[in-house]
Amino acid sequence: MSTTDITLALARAERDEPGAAEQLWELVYADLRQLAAARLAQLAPGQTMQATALVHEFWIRLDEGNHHGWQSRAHFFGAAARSMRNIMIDQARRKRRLRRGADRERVPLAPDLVADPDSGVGGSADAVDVLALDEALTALAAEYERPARVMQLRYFAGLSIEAIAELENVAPRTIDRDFLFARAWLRRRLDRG
Amino acid sequence: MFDDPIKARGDARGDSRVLRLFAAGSELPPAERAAFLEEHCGGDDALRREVAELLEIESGELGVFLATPAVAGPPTLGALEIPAVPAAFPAVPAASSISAEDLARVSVAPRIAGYEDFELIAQGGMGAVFRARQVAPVRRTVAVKVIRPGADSGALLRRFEAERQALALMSHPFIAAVHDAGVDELGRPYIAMEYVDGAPIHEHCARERLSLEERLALFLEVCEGVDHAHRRGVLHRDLKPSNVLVCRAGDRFIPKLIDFGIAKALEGSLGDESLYTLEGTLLGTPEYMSPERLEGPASRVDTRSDVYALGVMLYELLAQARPIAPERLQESGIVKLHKILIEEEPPKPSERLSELLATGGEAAARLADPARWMRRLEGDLDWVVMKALAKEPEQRYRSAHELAADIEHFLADRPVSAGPPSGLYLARKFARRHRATVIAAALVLLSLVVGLFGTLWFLAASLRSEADAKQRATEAEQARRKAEGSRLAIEAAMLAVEKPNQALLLALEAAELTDAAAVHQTIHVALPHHSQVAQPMGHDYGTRQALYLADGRLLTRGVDPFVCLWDPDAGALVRRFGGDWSRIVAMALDEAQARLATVTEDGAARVWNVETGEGVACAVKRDATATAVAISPDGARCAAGFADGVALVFDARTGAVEHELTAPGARVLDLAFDPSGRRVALRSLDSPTQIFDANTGSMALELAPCAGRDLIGEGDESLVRFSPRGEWILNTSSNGGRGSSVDTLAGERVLELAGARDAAFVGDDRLFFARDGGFGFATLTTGEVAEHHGPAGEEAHVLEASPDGRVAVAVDQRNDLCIVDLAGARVVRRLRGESDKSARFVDVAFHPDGERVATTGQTLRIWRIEPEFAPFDVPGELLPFDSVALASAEETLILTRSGPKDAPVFELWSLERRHRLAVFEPGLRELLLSPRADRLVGIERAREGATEAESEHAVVFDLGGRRLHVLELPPRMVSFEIRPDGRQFAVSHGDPRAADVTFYDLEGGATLDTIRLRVDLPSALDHVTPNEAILRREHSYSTTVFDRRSGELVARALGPDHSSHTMRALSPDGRTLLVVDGGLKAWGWRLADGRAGPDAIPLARYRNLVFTLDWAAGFAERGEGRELAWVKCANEVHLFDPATSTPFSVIRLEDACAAVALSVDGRALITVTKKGRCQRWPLDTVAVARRLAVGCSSARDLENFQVGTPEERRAREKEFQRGRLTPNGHAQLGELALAEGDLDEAVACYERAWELQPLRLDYDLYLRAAELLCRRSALPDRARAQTAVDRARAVQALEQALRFGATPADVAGVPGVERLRGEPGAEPLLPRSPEPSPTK
Repeated sequence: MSTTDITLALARAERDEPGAAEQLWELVYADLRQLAAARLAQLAPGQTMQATALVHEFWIRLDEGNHHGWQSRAHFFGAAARSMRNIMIDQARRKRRLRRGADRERVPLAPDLVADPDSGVGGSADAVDVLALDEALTALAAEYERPARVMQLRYFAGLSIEAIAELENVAPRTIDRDFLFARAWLRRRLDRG
Repeated sequence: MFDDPIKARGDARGDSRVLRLFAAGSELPPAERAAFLEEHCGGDDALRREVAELLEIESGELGVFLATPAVAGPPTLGALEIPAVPAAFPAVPAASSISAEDLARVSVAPRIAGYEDFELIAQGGMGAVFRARQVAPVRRTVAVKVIRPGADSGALLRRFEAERQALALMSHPFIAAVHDAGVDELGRPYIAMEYVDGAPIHEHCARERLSLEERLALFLEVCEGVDHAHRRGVLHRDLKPSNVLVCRAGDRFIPKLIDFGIAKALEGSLGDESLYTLEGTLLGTPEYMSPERLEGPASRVDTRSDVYALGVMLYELLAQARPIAPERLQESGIVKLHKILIEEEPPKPSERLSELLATGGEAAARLADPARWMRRLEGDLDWVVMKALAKEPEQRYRSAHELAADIEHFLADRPVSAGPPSGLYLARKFARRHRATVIAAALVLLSLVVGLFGTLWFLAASLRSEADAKQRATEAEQARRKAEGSRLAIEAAMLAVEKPNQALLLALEAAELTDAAAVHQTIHVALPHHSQVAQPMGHDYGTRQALYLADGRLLTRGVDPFVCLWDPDAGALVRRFGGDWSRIVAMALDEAQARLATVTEDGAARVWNVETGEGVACAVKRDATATAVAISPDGARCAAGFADGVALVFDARTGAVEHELTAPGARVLDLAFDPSGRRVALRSLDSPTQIFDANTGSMALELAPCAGRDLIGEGDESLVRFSPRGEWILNTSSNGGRGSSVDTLAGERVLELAGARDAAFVGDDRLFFARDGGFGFATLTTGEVAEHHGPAGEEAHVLEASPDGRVAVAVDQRNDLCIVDLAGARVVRRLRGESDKSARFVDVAFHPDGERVATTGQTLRIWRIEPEFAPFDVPGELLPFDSVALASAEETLILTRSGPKDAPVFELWSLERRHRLAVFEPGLRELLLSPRADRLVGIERAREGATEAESEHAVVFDLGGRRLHVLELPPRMVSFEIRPDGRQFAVSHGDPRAADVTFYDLEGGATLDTIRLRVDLPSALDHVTPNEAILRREHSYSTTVFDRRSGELVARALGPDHSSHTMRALSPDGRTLLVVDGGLKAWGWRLADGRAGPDAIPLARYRNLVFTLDWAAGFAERGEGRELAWVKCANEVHLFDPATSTPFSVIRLEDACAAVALSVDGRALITVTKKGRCQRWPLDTVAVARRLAVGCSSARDLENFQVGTPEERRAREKEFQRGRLTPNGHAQLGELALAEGDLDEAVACYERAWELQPLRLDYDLYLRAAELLCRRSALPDRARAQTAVDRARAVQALEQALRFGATPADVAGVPGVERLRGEPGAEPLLPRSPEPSPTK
């Protein structure tokens, strides 16, 4: 099973081996997609699945029997948040394609896992263009690394401020500020290009 | 595409100053930000612009942008049964507790010897009043009050009998005399009293159209009567117009107060609620009851409560109406009424009257000259009334006399003490009194030319003093808030049992004013004995001295003529000693606690049998006030000291005076017998202490004098004491005047401690004393003195050592109880007292169990003093820990940390002994600690290249790390655990579809048996419970329970929303299964008969606390068969009561919680954090938090209660005020309002939340609030409330529809859904209306 690979990747990431973080992320991404699809198949129609629960469940599975260290968790959630971000971007791209093609048919694997920017449902009240956000977030990361990371963990993996503080090993208050900063920064970027 | 844009590369090029300045700036109000940036950017314009721009966005357009995760909120379907919490909305007590039969019986005229011609004049729920003629021994007309027979009319009568002695003391023309009391032939208690042929005072005033001045004159007489009773130690407790009758006496009218003290006699037999149930009947209306009487324990009721009632009455006489409009009272239920009376500041009488006059009608018609009346009323009288009506007893007049004095001041145009004492005000008063003089003086003044210099000087001075005053006012305000906070916290603690809602509100309020830790502590401290504290114990006017008997009963002495013996556990008065109408000034007990000696102010010394309450002996010296008393340890002799410097030694069995000792000073301050009873020490004012031979009465020794003077004021004590073996004599003076000194029996001074205020023996030769703001110890044999200085200004004044000599209690200047560890000579704990000066502790007494102390003062309090478990940090070089396990039996801790190459290192620590027990060699892959903490089982690491089928080994260790046995484990091991009884080790292994469980004996190392579980799904062993059940997890959505003996499937718990079970636990009785799923919810399953299909009961749901990697759940037995379940979640431990599914409490830790266990004594939870901090949480505290939480409908409320420093709370509040309240914030406020019972507000909050951000909230609470509102609303409001319900229903339906993917057609059927048309959240879902909606 691929969890072994992930465990290995985690260990390598911890040792800061080159390329390990990328590999870990790819593995997590692939698995998360699979898991999301499997879960959705079991859900009653229309019922939504929580990304947060999904990520956690994934981790619990991964952690079962292995007592991953603190570092591993940080790595894992970092990777998971990035994965969720990509899953969302994929979805947004797909939707955009659909709209362009004026094709109203629903794509089978289009889980309402993430915000649908058009309906405003499941996301923040003011709809966010995920693709633009992705771009802005990348720009933010280039300048302010931790605020960007906090935003990614919070917005895409749904981690609470406390949980992020724990991962980052700083006070929740600091994370709170970073988060506020990231929001303000992103808002400006999105508004003013 | 696959490169991570956000990586810890450390090459970010952003300006870190931007981030820092932004963080700091965002904390400031927007108005101050520009200045802040100006100051801190140091001319770097680009930087300033950048931050300013970001801050502008933050304060303006940011809104909820990206505030919530992009992911969907938690699913709400099937998971949201909010546990019903009946206590949150206490039902209005039904008045039907009085049966018709009882009522009928009550109106039957009694037959009482000596009385005839009964005529019913009034009747109510409590009883009936008859007019009757007394024929013997005196012929007179009397009123006979017959009380409805209750379950304990015997007890009532006893109480009344006790009260009667006090009542008989009163003889005053304005108080109706009580003649007689007893039981009639039907077993109904009755009271015969003076018959008053008069009308209630307000009716009289209205009928006679009395002027304002006439009313005040009449009211002054009422005050005089009340004051008379107060001075004799009797509170009325139920003052109201119908208890103040005005009758004709000769050519004038006088008031007569009736029913004095009767409320107190009745009180014990009726709960607090009866006061409401019987509204309008004999026990009167709550409007005249003071807030402290309405909400607090009866012990808080004092003269000021009667003053409050007088205030209401005066209000009514002056404003023509009661403070609260009767319509409002009728509208609101009991709960609301309560709230109004306790919290709402009534309008000033003049405002109320002007309202009434404005509406015209009756009020105006009753007044001869309304305009003049208004003028007289405004100002002074308003203030007088409002001062009497102050919510805080401390703010009121202290006595009826003070109130009367202020009214007299008003009538004489002198300044009243109430109201703002501004200079202008005082001057105006002066001018009015001395009109002529003032006019003359003003003319003189005008004629003077005031120089410019003078004017300026005056101006500057006044400005300066204004600034000073401002500063002082700020400080005073802070002090006041703090004091108020502590007071509220204590009050909250005291109310928590009876009125959890109110207590919660108070606790929240307290947390606002003072730091949360103090609130927590106060609650923690005051509540273990809530049941006692809530009982009316102690003396009116305060308790002076307390002594515990060996059986835990408590003797108290107040400033009244009684010594009371209480059963504190039952909160009941066992008996009273004394009652000869003279105040008891001192008491003493013999060693066997069989005899009690008391002395009274009028010079009588008495000895009582403690068990029977009988007087044994009495010695009287009529010409002097008694001041001190002592009884010999064998109880044979008694010594009484008097103010004229004489002490009598008398036989404690006969009262025969044996010797008369003469003290050298003018006044005997204290007396003491030595342990043999052969010597008496006599301490007198400003003189050396003398030792007498008790057998002969001759002086044996005179001690050397001490420097300084004895000062005696209220509360000061100068004591003389023998050491436990009688070798030393200690003299103290509590105000430090003469310090403390110790002498030998040979008169040799061994120790002199100048300025030591208080000292006590804490062993044969050890002395514990207080001096210079600290504590000290002196060892008398060696003469060694060690002192520990406290913060400046802190002075201990009452010291008492525990019976086992382990700890002592002192009271410091701030009136905190300090628990001093005698061995370590340090303060181990401080218990917050009341900062109100009048509430200072006067005496402390240790319970024989050494765990409780009683404090005396304004109120009698009982505290639990067990020393706090100081947090213990496992030494830091071992950090970080990967895993922590905790076994409760010995409070042993096992810590794991990763070693080199992933080889974990295991360490074993004892929390109790606080040191490391063992370190285990590398080579173990897993180490388990048995719950009894006597064995460890380590699983060895598989050797290199081992195959899966190869068997592994387990090693059994003892706590010292010695190998006891090696167990050969079966191949293909899946999971393993030590059973909770600690005797067996279980391993599940084999093919997942036919799982086997093998049991090993940990004692002998033998393999016991292997059973095969009937499983149809692959599963892993999770838990073998003490009651022979096996828990297994199947695939991640279900948990199964198997029988340990047969391997049969007993139950399967399946979560309703397909979320994986991450943690499970079965209660010890096997009836409740606790499961935590998906990281968000805790569920409980009742396994009826251990078999039937389980129904899930939601225990808690978490919305934000999702970092759930280390869930753990456990069950623990509590006393009284109670269970407690806990779930640890990040840095919190959530506790539940699994029996009622109610959230219990939340313990917050500083970092992530690693392990939780119940302490050995079962009275506390122990937590260990990841960083190795071990803490102990007494369950009493937890229980308190639970009681406070009963009014909460979700774990969120608990969070609100517990979470957050004052700054955080204020920040949140600020956020709200800035109008940037998030939808979630509105919903939170809604939940809080719901918990507080403010349904209107709750519904309004939810509606706002819906408007802001539709379909993102839990609308079941919204619906619940609306439904409750509808049920509670008075008929006229019902329609409006129904509208709210319809709307909430529609919102909820829409929200669910959306989740289910319902079509507009489905939604169309929901009643009321049309009304949502046009609202942003509803629009996409609503079926298209014929015409397009105009709003979109």
